[in-house]
Amino acid sequence: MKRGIIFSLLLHGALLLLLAMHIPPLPQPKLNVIQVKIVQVSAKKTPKKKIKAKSTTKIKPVKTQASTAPKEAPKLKAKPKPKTKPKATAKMVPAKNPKAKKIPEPKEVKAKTNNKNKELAQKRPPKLDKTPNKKIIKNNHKEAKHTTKPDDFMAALNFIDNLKEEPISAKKKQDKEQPRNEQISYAYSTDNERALITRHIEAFWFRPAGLKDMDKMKTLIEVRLNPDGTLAAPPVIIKKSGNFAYDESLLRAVRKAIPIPIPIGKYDDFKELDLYFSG
Amino acid sequence: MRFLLVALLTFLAITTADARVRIDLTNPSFKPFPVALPLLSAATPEEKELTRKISKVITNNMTNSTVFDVVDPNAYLQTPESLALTGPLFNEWRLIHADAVLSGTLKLIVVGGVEKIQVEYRLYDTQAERQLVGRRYTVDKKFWRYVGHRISDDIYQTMTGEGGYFATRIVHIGEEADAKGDIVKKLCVMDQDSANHQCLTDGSHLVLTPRFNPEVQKIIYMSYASGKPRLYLLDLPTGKQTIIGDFEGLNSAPRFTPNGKGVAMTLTRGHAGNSEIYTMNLKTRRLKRLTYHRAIDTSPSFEPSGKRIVFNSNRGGRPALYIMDKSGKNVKRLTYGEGNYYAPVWSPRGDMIAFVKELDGTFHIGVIDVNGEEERLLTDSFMDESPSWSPNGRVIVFSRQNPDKNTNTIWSVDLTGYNLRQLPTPSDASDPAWSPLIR
Repeated sequence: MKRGIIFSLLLHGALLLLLAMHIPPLPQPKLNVIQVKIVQVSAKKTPKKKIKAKSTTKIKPVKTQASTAPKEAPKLKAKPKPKTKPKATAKMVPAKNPKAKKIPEPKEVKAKTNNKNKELAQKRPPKLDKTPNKKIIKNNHKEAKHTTKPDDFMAALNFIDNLKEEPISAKKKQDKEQPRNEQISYAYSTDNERALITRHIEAFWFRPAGLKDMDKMKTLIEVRLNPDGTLAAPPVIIKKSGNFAYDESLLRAVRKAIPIPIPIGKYDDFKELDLYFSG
Repeated sequence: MRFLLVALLTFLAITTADARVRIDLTNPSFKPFPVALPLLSAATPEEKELTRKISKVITNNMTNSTVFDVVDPNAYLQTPESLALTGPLFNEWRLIHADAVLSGTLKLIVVGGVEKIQVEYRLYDTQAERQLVGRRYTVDKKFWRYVGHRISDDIYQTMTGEGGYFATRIVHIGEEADAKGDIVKKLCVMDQDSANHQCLTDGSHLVLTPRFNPEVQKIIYMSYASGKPRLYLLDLPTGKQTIIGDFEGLNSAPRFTPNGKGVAMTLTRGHAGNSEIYTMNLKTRRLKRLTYHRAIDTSPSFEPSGKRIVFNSNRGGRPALYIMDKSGKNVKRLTYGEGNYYAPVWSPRGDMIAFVKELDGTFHIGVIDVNGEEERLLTDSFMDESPSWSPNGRVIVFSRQNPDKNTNTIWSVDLTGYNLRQLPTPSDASDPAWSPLIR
């Protein structure tokens, strides 16, 4: 008796928990809906060969009767099925779109959201591009005058004592490294989708050449995004590189990269990014 | 039953964990940091004039470093007064793509009867909208350039994470024609931006190979005042010179140990004209011989940690670079490339060694990492020699000989091979050596 009651209480509790978490019982019924569509098509024309390929029990009775079908038809049907099957998860409805459509869409979004940045980028002074030139610059120090009075020089040698240096404390507190406890599972995303974001942020990540240990720096920054690609919260450094200036330059890069181009219809997957900077 | 419970709990745990996307970023844009350097805020005309001069020093330093791109001042929307009073309007500075903006005030004050400049400045991050660094400097009015260099160093260090190199001097040999038309060589010194040039000897004796103590403003140099090579120690702040001694057969630049208490040098004395490497304690003047080889061993330079020495030797058939322990043991060859290697100098950063390389009649300044890999030639000319590192190990200063006339000029080049430029000097100049930071 007692056992039975405890067992039923536990089960009820579990059920309530599930309801409270708003978790749908199981995503499988949706798969069946897709199959219904196929039945509609197959009712018109379905050869035997196809049925074997599907090897599902439901379809058999319907298709044995419809005998003659054009050869093109099976190909058409065969294609949609394998596509839908592997992707079948609870939120797959938007993902159904053929790939050809997907790729241009995020680009358009990027163009729109970045208009501001691009306009500003064009205003940038031309100097920026000059720096890597191996040009020989003479007379950089036009304002430098050569003093020849020994008195001046000797005086200059003593000025170290005359200089007072006082630090001025910062007005704001700075972000602290935060420990991360929760378990991480990475959302499904394609290489293309990630590469788009990678390239976008890297364009804003400035790093003057020739700094020490450039290849040894490693920093992890966590970013939470709004649906429009803006920051839902300040970027957080999860793992520091050990070089404060380097980490600060990464935070600047992230902020400058706003809005970040989230692939269309995949906000739920891309609302939290782990940015692994190295180099 | 237990199994059911465990299964249930794990299911819950998985469905509630955050789904994230991992983005790997490995290719930064190799661009300089864009910074805005407005004038400091000042009240009187005299203060405003000083502000303009200091700002010029800072802007010049930042631009020459190639690490920074100074945003065109014509684009600045906020006045220095407004900046100092209310802080930066970050939106406006972001609009002109400044990653950081400088703000501050300059005042002339009188302390104990002496007129002084008091500069208070802050550097702000325009993206994070917060202060990166802020300091107050008080200094005699005549040393206004120095304040500019100190602020430059602060900005450099804050933005790159490496030390600056602006509040430094470069000592060198000035070559001038005297009244008779003969070339005389003087020991001269100037700021790293060529300002405040000054000669410390009168040119009556030949002076050679000045080298800085890496810790303090002291120079060791050679002179032939007595007909024999004589070593001098010059304390820059006091101008006091001391003779270390006469060294027969001294034939290469003595270099300080990293702590400044000793020197490494090359002597041919007593080895049938063969040069060997010694170290000497400057206090006790005691010599210690490090190399025992029939080949020529010369040009020693210490690792910043003081543990190892890089030197030049032809023991492998032709001049190449070798590394040994400070005791003279564990000699390992560093360079195997074509051509002849000379004059190695260990970077103050510790990760690189600069050298002179002669290849097919052309001279180069080059760098190689301490494992003997990634050799890069930074310059090429008729004759480049005497490389010396900036104290942060980013820039190399060297002397270049003009092929037409027998004259020398001083040049500098970045570790990256970019930014080759001549440092203006009032006369011909050679054998430069970069000082440590003046603090």
